[in-house]
Amino acid sequence: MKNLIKKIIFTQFIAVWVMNFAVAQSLTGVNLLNKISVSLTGVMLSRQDQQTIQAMTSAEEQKKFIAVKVEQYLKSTEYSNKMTFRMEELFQFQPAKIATYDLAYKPTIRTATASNYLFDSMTTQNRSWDDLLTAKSYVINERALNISKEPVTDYGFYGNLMSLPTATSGYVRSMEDIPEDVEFTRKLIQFPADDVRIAGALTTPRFFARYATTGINKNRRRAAAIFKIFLCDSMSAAIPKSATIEDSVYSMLYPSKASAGITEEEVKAVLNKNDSIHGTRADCRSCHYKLDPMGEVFKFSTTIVASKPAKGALAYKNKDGQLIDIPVNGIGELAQAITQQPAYLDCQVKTFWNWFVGQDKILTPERLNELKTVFNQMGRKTNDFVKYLVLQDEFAQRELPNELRDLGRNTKQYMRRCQSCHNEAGDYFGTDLTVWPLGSKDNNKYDTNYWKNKIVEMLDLDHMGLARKMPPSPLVGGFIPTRQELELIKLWIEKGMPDETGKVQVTK
Amino acid sequence: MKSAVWLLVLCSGFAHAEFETTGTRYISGYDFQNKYFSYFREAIEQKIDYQGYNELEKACFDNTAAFGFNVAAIGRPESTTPTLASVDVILRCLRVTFNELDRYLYNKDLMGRKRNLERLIDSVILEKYYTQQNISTWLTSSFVALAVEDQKLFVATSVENILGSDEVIKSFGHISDVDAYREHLLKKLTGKTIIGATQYIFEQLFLRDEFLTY
Repeated sequence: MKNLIKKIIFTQFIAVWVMNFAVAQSLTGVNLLNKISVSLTGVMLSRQDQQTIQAMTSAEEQKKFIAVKVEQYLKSTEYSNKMTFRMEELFQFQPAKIATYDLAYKPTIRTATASNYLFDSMTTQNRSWDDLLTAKSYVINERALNISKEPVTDYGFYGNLMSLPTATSGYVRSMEDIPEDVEFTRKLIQFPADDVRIAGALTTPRFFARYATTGINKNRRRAAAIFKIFLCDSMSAAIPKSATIEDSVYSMLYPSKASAGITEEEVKAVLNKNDSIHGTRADCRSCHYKLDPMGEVFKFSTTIVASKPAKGALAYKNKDGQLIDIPVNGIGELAQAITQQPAYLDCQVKTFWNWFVGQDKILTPERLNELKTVFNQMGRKTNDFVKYLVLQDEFAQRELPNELRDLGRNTKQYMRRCQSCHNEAGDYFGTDLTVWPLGSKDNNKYDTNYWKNKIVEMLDLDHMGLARKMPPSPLVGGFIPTRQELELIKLWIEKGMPDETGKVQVTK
Repeated sequence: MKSAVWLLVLCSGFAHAEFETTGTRYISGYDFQNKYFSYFREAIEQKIDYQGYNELEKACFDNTAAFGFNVAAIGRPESTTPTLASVDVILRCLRVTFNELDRYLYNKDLMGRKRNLERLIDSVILEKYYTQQNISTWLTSSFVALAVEDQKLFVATSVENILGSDEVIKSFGHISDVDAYREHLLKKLTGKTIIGATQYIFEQLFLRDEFLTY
């Protein structure tokens, strides 16, 4: 009996050990090709291709076959559609509802607006990734308004800058606004290479509509999106608390909810009273020195691009803490300046890495540098870099399920959201929540155990967040954690706060 | 009993319980929808009928968040992994799809039928049993009325069509014995009609990590 118990315990131990320390497996042959197929086209490897590659006996032969298939995938409609979808997500555009009739690859919103033609051409023409910011040509489509429901069509948007069919109302708001004798088909429009008003995806109706401006946000929303997408600098709104700010004012701050019956002037009057509070707060200043000058380039462009460019600047601190301050004469110059920044290169390579290798795979500084060199050598061509990445060893890795490691990774991902406020630029109390063991960034002034208790207390994990103090309310720039998220953090703590490798950080 | 214990061990890694797992790469909502409808495209392209169309859209496309699409209000997907809502939507979508497919099979011209079934049922079996006249009766006949070898082929082809070859399936690390898994599925098909068995297999396989991840 004793032996049996010993045996069971030993078996359990081995099972747990295997679960927690199982290493990644390196995919080859059919498994690798299947992963590439799903990653690039979204669909599983065809049965025929599975059989073909499985019938191959030499690794070299399989490798050649994979290379041929990758080329085919990169030329496929499925790949272009999938990449367009990735770009839409990157820009956080409202996803277009895929209707069943779209499935036969008929023209859809994905290729029916200026921005989506641009996204599509990034892969169909293997364009330089920089073109997302610097392209000066668009294909505009008559279906735009009907499908995407943007406030203004492509024709209305660009009609302010060049001679296009116009309507008596000024904007083309519906097909009825277009004179009947106008031949209305897809049209390529080209702006001069030195036109400082034009900047790829930034000067498209979808970008303008997604990041709408008001007299209050003064294009900072657009600037914040640019920082996030192209420089991987996410900023959270820090709205000062004030007894004079009513809920209706907050509604006004977010244009989609601007129906509280309060005028913009009234809002401005209330907010002006709070300027002194906002202006003196370090956490506000830490973003506004970047957002305000960038927002200036959109100054005259509310729903459409203004015919007159506006001056502004690209201002931010680089990773060495040096202030970068580049004056620009328009959105086009701003976009050009961004593409010259090392931070842009870092960010874009990381974006590709996250898409194809996975953000859960650690990208070391050395590997990042190697990839940046390759990206540059390839002229930053989209498909070339994608092809390079999917043929790397890191892509071929598939990690077997591991509870502690995955718990650590999920928690780290959540902590990144917290860290968007708990950063050095802000005046918030706390340690860097993304540097583990917790407290190590502050030379262990307080140890991991201290931070564990602090997290339990601030999130009120004992009562599933009933009296939590963190994160703050969305009204002051915070967010509401879901029950699932609270359960995740609770489990993470219960399991000893494992890190991204599954190593337990706290044993008591 | 022995096999029941064995099945329990084997099934402990089934995808239903593994939606919380990360470190794996989940396909995007867009991929899911494309992948999903690749099995039913023939039927859909011929536009079942307007009402059926709307039903399908409502069941399969309305809750984009459940598929991992960006939620406009928060600018990112609602969850990093599929949730119970995803399971619910997938199952509902399958039910509606099969209902509509069923209606389509009975109402439209006979020529279209076989083509619609080719992605769902093994072609050898179709060749053997399918005739334009008997299709409705055949689809609603008992699955166990098929020859045992054909039953096995039916399951094997479905598993390969949806999850991939044995080698691909094993590489995910959830199923170590694909034969045993097929056997397990086969046992569950007793008492079902052929179309019912097809739907059951789709419901089981579309929720698996081998289908949802890469």
